[in-house]
Amino acid sequence: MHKFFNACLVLAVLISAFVLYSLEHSTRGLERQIAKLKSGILDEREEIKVLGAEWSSLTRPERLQKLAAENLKLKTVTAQQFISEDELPAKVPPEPVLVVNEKSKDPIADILKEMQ
Amino acid sequence: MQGEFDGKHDDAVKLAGQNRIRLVAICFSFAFLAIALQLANLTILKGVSVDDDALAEHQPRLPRPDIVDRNGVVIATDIAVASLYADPRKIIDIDDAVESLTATISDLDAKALRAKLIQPGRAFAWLKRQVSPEERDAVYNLGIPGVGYVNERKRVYPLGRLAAHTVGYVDVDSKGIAGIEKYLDDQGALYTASLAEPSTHTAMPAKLSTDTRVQFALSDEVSKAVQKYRANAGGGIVLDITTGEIVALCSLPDFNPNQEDKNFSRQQANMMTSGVFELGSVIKTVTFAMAFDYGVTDLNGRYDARFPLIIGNAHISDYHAQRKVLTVPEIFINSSNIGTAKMALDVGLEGHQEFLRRVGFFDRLITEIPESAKPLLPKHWSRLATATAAFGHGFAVQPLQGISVIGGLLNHGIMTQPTFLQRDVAEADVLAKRIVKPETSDKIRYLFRLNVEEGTASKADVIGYRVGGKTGTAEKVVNGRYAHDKLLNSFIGAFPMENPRYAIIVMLDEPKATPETFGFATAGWNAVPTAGKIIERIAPLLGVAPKFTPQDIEKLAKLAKTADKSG
Repeated sequence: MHKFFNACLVLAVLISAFVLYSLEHSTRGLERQIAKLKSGILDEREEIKVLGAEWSSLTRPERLQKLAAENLKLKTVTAQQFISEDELPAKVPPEPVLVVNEKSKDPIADILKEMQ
Repeated sequence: MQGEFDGKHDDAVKLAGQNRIRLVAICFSFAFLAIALQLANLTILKGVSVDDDALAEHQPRLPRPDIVDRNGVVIATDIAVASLYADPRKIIDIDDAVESLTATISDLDAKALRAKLIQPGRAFAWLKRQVSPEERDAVYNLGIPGVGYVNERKRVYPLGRLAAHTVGYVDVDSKGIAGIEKYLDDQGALYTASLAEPSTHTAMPAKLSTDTRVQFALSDEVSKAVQKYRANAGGGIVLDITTGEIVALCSLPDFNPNQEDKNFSRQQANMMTSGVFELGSVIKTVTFAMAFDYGVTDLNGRYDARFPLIIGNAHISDYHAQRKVLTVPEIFINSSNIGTAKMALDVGLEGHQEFLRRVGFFDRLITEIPESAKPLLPKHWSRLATATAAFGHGFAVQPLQGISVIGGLLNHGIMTQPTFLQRDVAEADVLAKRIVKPETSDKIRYLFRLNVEEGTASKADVIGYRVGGKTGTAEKVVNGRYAHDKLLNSFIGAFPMENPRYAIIVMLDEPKATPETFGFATAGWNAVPTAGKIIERIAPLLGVAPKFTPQDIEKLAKLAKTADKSG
């Protein structure tokens, strides 16, 4: 009786030791993963900061103005170019856009026109 | 006998042995229990996680918050940089190391590097400070023994010179030296702490009231004006007078906060807050508001400006002398010193001082940025002091304070403490202070608009945006005397005039006459058109909708015609 009981206890000790070890092992694994993810987050955050600074530097108004002056044919917007929504219908060009298509030599546009 | 004795003896020994075993078992159980309890305590109850400590070690203090503008554009940020070092004693093959290092980092000088590494007994040498992450990884992957890196943080200002005076800069140890950067460390330490999120070792960005687009339009136009009129210096501020937010502030010459050597000269200081200037006729606005508010005169009032005003042995005369009895609006648009001085004398010495105290001209204007100067007012208030202070002589203030007070006069008489940080309307309402009656403000706004329509500030009339303003051409004091050829020109304006939201000040230090200005160097010919150009650029950015009266449309048609002819 005693022997059987002791054998059971020994078995229980062995099993619990194994479970405990495997639990701890997996916990360590998870902890490593957490640490890895955390440092990954830190790295990403760093990256975001660098990219944010770069974006800010690339879109600084001074640079954009220079590029716009070189590559675009645009002028400073004057006050008269702003109109309210109510005035908008009156400002729409009188000729419909389709008229342009009539004169064009675009074959696809011609096909589309025939289909209509 | 023996057996009996033995048996007895055995029993006694057994008994004693069993007792001992029990004692030992109990001792062991207690010991194991203690260990088990301590184990449970350490692992389950306290639950110290190892990697948190490791992280804390990685970032020992709270990070410095980024600085962004009101739209979230990054103005200042911390980026991680690595500094490469070497322990020459551990490098096995110095020639090989030098070769691979110079091949990896382009701007490393092979000779200097060799000289550094070859020194006997040297244990430490910087290879290169503050390299990019790519360079760091490349060097790390070389795997040279004795070469390593340390992580550092570096403050960068991606926008460079833009808004440099507002933002300020930090020293090598990331300690704020000027501008908002200093505020984050000193008076604003509580504010900085409120931005921090210790759990994640990050911080929310500090949000400025600055709008980088408006800031650029202002800086760009002011710098063009400084060049065009060959001025020594220039500056400007755009202020939201309803909330006190400083939308843009520029002072030229400026500086680049990214530069390594930060020995900036005095000229590069922020003249809009750290210098005091006689703003000249701009200050007449304050005198007019005072006279209206005390009920001494109104828009129908008249003053005799035929003869110079004589107080003691001082003569006060007019630059644009009209030699007639002027109405109050005429005094304003002709900028008559005589008329303005008489108005101030009518208010009286006590009243004048009381009013200036009320609007805050006796106190230093304190904002977030540490650079601020105390106003210089006459030491003894005599009749002469009142008469001259009325048109801005002997009355020097920081330009920011000037525009803040005049902004208050225009904003229905409600002045709000200016700020460089974003502020909401509720917060602004708490800080708002009434300085004059709303009717007084109505009259001042009428005069401002009139002055742009017909007076000295007509070149700032950006049609559609209802600009109003006042010019000031002050002679600079050189060796204790006013120098006629050294001018400090300014313009303070606001738009849209029926309910102004934005006030603008433009200052030019010693602008010269050019052929284009027909030999004139007064404010109306340089500061005013500059302000006009700025307003034309910033009004759409600030969401001010243009409106056109029939007269405006006529004016535009005329302008278009002349443009056609000349073109």
